Amino acid sequence: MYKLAILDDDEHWCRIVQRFLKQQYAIATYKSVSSFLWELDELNQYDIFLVDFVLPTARHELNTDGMEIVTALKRRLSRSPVVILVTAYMSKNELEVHGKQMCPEADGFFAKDAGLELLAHQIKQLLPPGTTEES
Amino acid sequence: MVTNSGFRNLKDQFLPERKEALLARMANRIRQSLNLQEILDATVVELRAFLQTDRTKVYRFDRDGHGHVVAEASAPNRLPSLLGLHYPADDIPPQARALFVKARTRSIVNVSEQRIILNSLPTPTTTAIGDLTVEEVQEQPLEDILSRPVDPCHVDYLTQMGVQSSLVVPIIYQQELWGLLISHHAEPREITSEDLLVVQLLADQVSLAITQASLLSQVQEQQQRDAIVNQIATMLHAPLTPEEILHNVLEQAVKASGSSGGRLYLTSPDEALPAHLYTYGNQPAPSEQEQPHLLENHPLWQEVRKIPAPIGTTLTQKDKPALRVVINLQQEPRLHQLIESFQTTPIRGLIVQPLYYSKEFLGYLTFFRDQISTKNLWPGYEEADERQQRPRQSMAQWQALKEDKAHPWSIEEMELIQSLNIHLSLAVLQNRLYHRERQQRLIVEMHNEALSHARAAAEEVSRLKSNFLASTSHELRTPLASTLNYLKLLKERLYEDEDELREYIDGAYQSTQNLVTIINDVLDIAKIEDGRIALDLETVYLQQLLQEQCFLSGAESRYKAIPLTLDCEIETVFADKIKVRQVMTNLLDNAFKFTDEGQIDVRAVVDSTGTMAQISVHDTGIGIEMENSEQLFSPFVQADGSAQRSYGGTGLGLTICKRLVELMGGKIWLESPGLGQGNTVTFTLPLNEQSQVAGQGSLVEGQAPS
Repeated sequence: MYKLAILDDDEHWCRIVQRFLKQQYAIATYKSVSSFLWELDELNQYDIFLVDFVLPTARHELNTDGMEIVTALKRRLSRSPVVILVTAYMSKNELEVHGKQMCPEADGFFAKDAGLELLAHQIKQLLPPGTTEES
Repeated sequence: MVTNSGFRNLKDQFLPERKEALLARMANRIRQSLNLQEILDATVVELRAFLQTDRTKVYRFDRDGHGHVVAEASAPNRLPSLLGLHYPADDIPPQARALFVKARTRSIVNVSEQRIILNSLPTPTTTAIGDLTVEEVQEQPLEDILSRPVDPCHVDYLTQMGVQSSLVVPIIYQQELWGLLISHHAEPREITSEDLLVVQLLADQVSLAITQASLLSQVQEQQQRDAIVNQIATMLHAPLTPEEILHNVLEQAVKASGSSGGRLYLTSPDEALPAHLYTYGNQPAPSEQEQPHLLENHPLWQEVRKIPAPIGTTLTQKDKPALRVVINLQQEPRLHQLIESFQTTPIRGLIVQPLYYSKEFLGYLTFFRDQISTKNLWPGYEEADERQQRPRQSMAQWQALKEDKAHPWSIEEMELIQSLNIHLSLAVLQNRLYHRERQQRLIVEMHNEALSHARAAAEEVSRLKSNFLASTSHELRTPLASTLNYLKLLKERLYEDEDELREYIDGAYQSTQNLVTIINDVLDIAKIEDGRIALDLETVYLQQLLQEQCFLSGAESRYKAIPLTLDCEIETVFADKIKVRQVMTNLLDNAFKFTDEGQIDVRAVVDSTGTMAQISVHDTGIGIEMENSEQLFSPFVQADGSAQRSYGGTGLGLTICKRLVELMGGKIWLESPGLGQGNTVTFTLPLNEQSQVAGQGSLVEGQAPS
């Protein structure tokens, strides 16, 4: 089963995604950057990351945004995970147009107002072809 | 006795050689030297050697008529020295001078017998002028004049000085009496016509020397004046402020013109530049300070201004600026009202010039001169020789005449001042241009700055608006997405049991409620910022209002076991009751939301200005770091972003409070000792209508931490 990590401080969103995708993926949630450990060993276990676009503006995290985190995940993790940028700042349509421009390193973009099926579909498409849930 | 006939005969015998030798030597000296004093000194030595008399001297007339001995040669212990002594103009009156010019040589061979011989006449016995006028001397035949008796006063004068024989030859320069070549002898002494002729030739040579020396000194003085003018003109381009330049130029002009003080008064050309007075050196007494520029407002100055004086950029004869010279302030009737200002000062003379550039009147240039120090002009004053008594008496009279009078400015000095005037006019004009240009530049800079501020403000508004929109859309979409997704889970029955079902329903409900709160808050702020919110200001009984608010929070207080206290020292405020309630509700909600233990205190006191109520809500909650406490009043900002999720709420509460408090004429600020140490939010409200009208927030300036 693929392992999926969600970095988002919105409790409801985390809960919904977990419920919706729990059949397909092993899911872990992180509600703040400070709890999202930068230990490569721990992060290396995940195949998919859902990262909120701009993370909570906690004072000690002011200089970190979702794009930096995406870049760090893509460059530093040896397993080259699938990273999807998730945001409520933009609508589905806006994100399709501007997403790649804002964060070229992300594999996919997901607007929170889009349907969860779309998210599931997008994840499946982004995972390496031929691999199965059992890999 | 030197004058025995044997010696004279011997001398006469060699006269032609001696005469030629003397004249040749003098001509040689004049050729060799351009120094007049040197030539005069040699002349008196040669003359005395030639005539064998006790004293020979050169007496020079000054511009004001008085004279002084400029060169002298004398035999030891015969007649006292007169070198350097001054004599008043009256000593050799105008008519006597006219006679010198007319008769050329005059010789009194025996003072006691009053015998006078003039070389141009064959008649040996003649007399002096008596009380003839200058015109009479010039009109009457010389014979008639010389037939008059010798002036007894002159006889007395010479006798008292111990002179028994006198020979006087005028030195004429440019048709005017420049001075006298004089020989005195203590005993009666005849002088031959040959001697007289030689002396006359010598005087002619001296005239030639004077011409040469005058030309030289004129050139030298002109060069000196040009140098001064150039030096001052250079100062105009010094790398200093125009004010410093003008002050320095004035200082140099005062020094160069031999004045004791000066002032440069500049009129006000327009509102931008006030009238200005630069002063240097001696000035009229302090009473002037009470009425600045008094001097320049005086009719004397005003009159000078009226003299048409067009000045070009180069000094030509016809362009010379007008001058008004006062040598003796006491004798200028129009200055009587100003005399008091000058009395306590040494200033006795002044010169006024208007400053013009083209037709534009710029102001006045005034120079002062102090009274003459007469003692210095009388080096022989302390000599005890009785024979000096008469010159001393003359000097005393002259001193009396000179008192309360300043040295007049010479033609050259006046020309110098006129040259400086032109340069100063240019400098003043430069100064004005500089100030006008600077003023224009300042205005442009101010406009630019205002534009830049306006642009920055517009950009900031635009940025805030963008941020607000971005934040708002994010804040609205997040609960909306949650609601939608919960509903989707419910709709597709994606729950395993009753508990999970309830969890989704609760999530959808809570998300929707958040959405409603956010929408309300956003609409509130939009309304306030659009000015569409109406205030209903009235006298509000604060104690009662705060008690009610505390009562409403009572349930929360009991639920969280956090005591809530109230201390209100104020009876009423002038505010909108509903808005005050909204602010208090927000602050109390926040306080309870962020506090898990300790207590919450509400306090209302009169501030230090006595015009505002200061209401604070203090909690013992999570607190914040104070660095950016002001940010908390910006929309969607919370001390800890995750707190927004952990504790709920929109992050718009403090923003709304700030807008409402400011609308009511107060201010709001937050203080916290640090993270985990609680915080205090304080806001002010006007105590009554007057303070509300007067302040609109400015009353509490300085109370709020900036």
